[in-house]
Amino acid sequence: MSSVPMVHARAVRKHFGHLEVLKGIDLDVGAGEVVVVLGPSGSGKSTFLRCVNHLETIDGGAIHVDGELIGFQASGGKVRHLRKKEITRQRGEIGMVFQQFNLFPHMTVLQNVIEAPVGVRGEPREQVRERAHALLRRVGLADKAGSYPRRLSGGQQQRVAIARALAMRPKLMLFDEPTSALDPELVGEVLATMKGLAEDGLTMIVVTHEIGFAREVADRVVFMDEGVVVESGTPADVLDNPSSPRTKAFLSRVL
Amino acid sequence: MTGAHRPAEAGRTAGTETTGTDETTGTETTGTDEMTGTGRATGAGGLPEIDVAGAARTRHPLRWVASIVLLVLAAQLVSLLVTNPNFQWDVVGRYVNAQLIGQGIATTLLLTVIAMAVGVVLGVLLAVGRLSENPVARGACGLYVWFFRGTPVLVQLVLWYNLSYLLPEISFGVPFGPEFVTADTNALITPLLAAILGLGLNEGAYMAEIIRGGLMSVDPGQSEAAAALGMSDARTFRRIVLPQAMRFIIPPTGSQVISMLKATSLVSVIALADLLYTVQSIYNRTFQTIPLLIVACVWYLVITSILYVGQSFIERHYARGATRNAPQGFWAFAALRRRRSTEVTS
Ligand SMILES: Nc1ncnc2c1ncn2[C@@H]1O[C@H](COP(=O)(O)OP(=O)(O)OP(=O)(O)O)[C@@H](O)[C@H]1O
Ligand SMILES: [Mg+2]
Repeated sequence: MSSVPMVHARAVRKHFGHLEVLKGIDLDVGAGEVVVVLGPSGSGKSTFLRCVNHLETIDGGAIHVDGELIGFQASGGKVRHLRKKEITRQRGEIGMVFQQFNLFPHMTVLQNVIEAPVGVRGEPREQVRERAHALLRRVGLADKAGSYPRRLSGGQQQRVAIARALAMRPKLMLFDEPTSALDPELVGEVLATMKGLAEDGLTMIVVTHEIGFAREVADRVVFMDEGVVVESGTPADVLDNPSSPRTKAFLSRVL
Repeated sequence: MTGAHRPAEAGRTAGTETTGTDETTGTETTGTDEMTGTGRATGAGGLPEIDVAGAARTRHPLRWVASIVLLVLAAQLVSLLVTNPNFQWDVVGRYVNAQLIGQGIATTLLLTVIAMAVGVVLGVLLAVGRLSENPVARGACGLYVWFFRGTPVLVQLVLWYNLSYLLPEISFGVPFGPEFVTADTNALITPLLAAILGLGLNEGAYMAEIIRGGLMSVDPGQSEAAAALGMSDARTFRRIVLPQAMRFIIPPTGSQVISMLKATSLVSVIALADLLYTVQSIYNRTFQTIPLLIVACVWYLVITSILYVGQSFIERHYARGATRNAPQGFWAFAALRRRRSTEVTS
């Protein structure tokens, strides 16, 4: 792990009304590391991911990505909320892939991929277009550039969503159950794409129930329950030799 | 009766193709008993061997009755229109292209377009206000919609026209402070402006609700994905949410335009010469009330038809990507056919 971790989360707290969803999450993710987050439903996995790119505002603690405080500004001992413009810039540097794909249905696959780099960053359209075609080839959809998302299979849509996120050249990719909405026979193609990204050295936090993926691809597995990190370690440690009874109970249910 | 014969023939060919037994040809309907009877003998796995290609169509005698009744009624209507001299078609023909009528149409169209434009712009602002996180904006926009939808347009028109009654002078300046420009209300509010204000501000309230409904029908995941890509709220609204909301906004807006076209006739109360007012002013002189009202209706129908075609084009534009199957409208179909045939010939 390098000196400054890509993600540095300390004592992250988040509540919705009276419901305390995150009760002090500590997590470091090194550059190029792949961390798989496991945990039962409602344990706060999605909420934590959404805090990392500030889709949710945290109530306590701090999250740094690549050394930069997310969503806030600290100077002279004072902490202030960041301006909208800064927040959107920070989000643009963190890719996110959703369970429900959330492709823009009124745009073709190619338009989906180039929308943000051209519209948000103002990169030249021709250049982005070339990059987009390369990305679509990489996710195995070179021939679908002109299709509308609804005419693609779920697996194809999710791979487009991955290409769309990659087009912004993110420092970090967040995956929130990317295969949970897919038919079983389509899960493999998405996981294979993600494995390719991991091998290329992309830093990734992946929330998933695919234990096989965790075992094969993750550098580290984190088990979350009731808003805290219960256990963290190599896939072998956490999956085969869990130390906490809560992890054991969860694994016995999903394995 | 000729219609009833064809399905029976189809059934007969199907019968000969599949099983070729006399039982099936003997009956006009599918004849389940005979089919299963022969099937049991020939089919594999205990099930009859059947090919549904060329199956007899279900007959709908009631549809025929309904069609005939409607045709008779339509014929009666046409004959009434043609033979009844009271319609005075010669008068209709004389006035339908009259220059005076043309000016009325121009006023009606102008008013419709401007009032609708005011209504749409206002509607977007009000809808965004009603969906905003700011409670003051939400309340103010809600109040606006409540008032302008809750009072008759006619009253609103008359109020704007008689604004000088309430406010003899209109001033622009710092609220409760110095005034920079002051104008005489009567000179400022012309009948045309009163009409635009009356119709446009009222329309804004209706459009606000239509647009708000459209915006709410877009999956929140869309805004979330846009935010995660680093898009600003404004850009997300313009590029992602609004284009998708348009699918739900366009059809009711089409109805609003047509309502507006006819609502403009209300401005005759403030002496603005739109199509209906022009027609009225003519028949008040000539007493040819019915034929002149027909002239007006003909023109309203012509404009409505054009709007209808325009709407279907806009609808198709915003429907792109909305369904799994490509929308096959008539024009797209025709274009595709043409392209395919040129490909073949070249
Ligand atoms: N916007 C919100 N408002 C109120 N409660 C919320 C909100 N988002 C999440 N929660 C609640 O926070 C808790 C944690 O939700 P979260 O989605 O993070 O769980 P999760 O670990 O991702 O579960 P799953 O595996 O089902 O996706 C749940 O009880 C959920 O109901
Ligand atoms: Mg979740």
